[in-house]
Amino acid sequence: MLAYTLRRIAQAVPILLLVSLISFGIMQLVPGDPAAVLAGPNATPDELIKLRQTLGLDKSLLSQIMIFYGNLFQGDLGYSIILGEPVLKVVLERSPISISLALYSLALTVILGLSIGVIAAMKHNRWIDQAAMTFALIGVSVPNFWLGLVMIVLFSVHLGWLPTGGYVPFFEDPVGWFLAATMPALSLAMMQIGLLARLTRSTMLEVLGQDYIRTARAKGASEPRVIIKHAMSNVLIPVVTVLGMILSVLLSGSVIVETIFAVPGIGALLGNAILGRDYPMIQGGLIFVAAVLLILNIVVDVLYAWLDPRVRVQ
Amino acid sequence: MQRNPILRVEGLRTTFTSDDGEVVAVDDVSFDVNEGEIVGLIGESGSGKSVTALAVMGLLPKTTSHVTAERIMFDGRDLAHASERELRRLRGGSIGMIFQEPMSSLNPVLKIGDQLIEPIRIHERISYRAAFDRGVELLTKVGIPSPVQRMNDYPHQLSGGMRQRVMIAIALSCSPKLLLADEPTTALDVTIQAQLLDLLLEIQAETKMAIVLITHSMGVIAECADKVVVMYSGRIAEQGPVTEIFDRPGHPYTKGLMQCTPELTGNSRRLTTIPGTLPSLSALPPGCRFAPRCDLAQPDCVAGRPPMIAIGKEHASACIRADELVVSAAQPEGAEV
Repeated sequence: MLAYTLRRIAQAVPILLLVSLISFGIMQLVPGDPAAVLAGPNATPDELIKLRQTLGLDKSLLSQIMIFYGNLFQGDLGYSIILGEPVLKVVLERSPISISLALYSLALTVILGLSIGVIAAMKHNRWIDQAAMTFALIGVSVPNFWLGLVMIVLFSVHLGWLPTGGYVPFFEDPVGWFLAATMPALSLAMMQIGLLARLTRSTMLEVLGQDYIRTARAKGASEPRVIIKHAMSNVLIPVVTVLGMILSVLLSGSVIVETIFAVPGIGALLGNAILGRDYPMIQGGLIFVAAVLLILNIVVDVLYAWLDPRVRVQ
Repeated sequence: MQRNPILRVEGLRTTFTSDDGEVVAVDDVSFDVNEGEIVGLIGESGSGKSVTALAVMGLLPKTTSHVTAERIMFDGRDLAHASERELRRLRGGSIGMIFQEPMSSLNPVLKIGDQLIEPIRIHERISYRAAFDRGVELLTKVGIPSPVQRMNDYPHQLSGGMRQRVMIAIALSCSPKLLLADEPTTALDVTIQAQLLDLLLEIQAETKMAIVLITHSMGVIAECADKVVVMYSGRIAEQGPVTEIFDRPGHPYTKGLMQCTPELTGNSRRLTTIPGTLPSLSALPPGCRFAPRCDLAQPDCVAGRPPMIAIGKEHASACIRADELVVSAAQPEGAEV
């Protein structure tokens, strides 16, 4: 198990290198002169030269790469052009907001998706099953930005139950955090709930038809015992596999949802950076998000091996 | 020796809902299993053997199947009219069951030990430690080397034969009075098959439990069973003591099954086959269901369902020409052939 974990961590290193190389390439891929694009059409030649020097664009490609990686290994992601602050500092300030939102969404996805899927499978072909699958289909089909706007109109404007957006730090005011984060988390999670419910239902149906479920019943096991101990332990294997993917979608999907709900998270930060052509910010943010996703995926993989003894030996 | 029946099945009928509508998989099946007796349930695939065993256990899916019976008496209780709760108390407790597929019958993500001691923990008030020790004992009994280590293994670390031994240990864990063994050796290598049958016989001799041994091999029946129930297309074709059936088969189907079995000793001969296949459950022939494949069929055979005719002590056949068959078998057969 330890060897497996270490192996997964080692496999993440080349991926991170590749991502950082791509993010370095962003600056090189801007057509023409990135400094000219950045400074805008009214910039004086002096300003352009200064900007090139700040960005290191006046040096050769090789030395640019060397400087880029040299800084990266020291934890220096450069300075944001718009905010004028170190990228790492800004990213570290904003990321807990997004991560807490993503984890809340994940919790909603797992709790609702799993239970809807399990109940649908247990009531296969009855009205509960059909209702659950209709709900899942709606969840999969409705775009999250539209759902977010509809929820704001309904729950904030008409009913006045929840704030329209913003963010309250969890440790300062947990209730406030909960109220503010519920609509963004739900609109982020809705599609994933639908997908997970469908996956859980079909996996559960398959597992319930397996011989070992019959064996469990032949032992005199009660129905809850059959479902929880014998079926769920097998259903969770494919579910955990997709959790990694779901997490990355929840983190990257937050760009739109954070904008709608005015949540000052990393998604909104990156969105603004892209609109304002803040290249160092885009580069740094990209590397940071990639690193977070890699870590989460390693956690998921380790969890997967813990659940399925057959994976550990490979 | 007069023995009391531990299991008495009367008028068992099982139907399934399928795309073709309702099909009858088991039709009016009745048989007795006495205490300490091994009853062989034989027939081709699809003849209703496994469904019979699963129906007795109440293990058929309730959404797609429907089981009725006049009575299924087990140890003084009527299983046909028992609640799910009562059935659950018997399953894995007084009635053990072994299935055909050892590769898929164990849960892949649970340790052997946890799966083995589960019925003990369900049916008895016993500590984990004591149950674990009994699990080790059971593994030793079914011939698994280094049992303590195996308790912590997962199914994929064991071979098919070893897994079936574990299944046997699970079925035996609560000292059942009746063991339903559904083709326990079919999926295994021949050498392993013999080992496992020997193991079952050994344990049976020791514990005196009754066994219903489902198989499609006449050889296995000859080796193990006291009594035989031959099933064809959801009905009983013939039943009786094993010596009677082998000496004086009273149904053309039984005779056909015996002629399909190769002999290692004696005269080598071409194996005879039974032409055709089992009829589809959704298109059953009228009258005797074996008639379309039977050499001896005559117009009367399709007129109505043939009744069970007694042709010897505890020996009965559902063939209207059973008497003729028994007589011809009693005479030296094939002397001139």
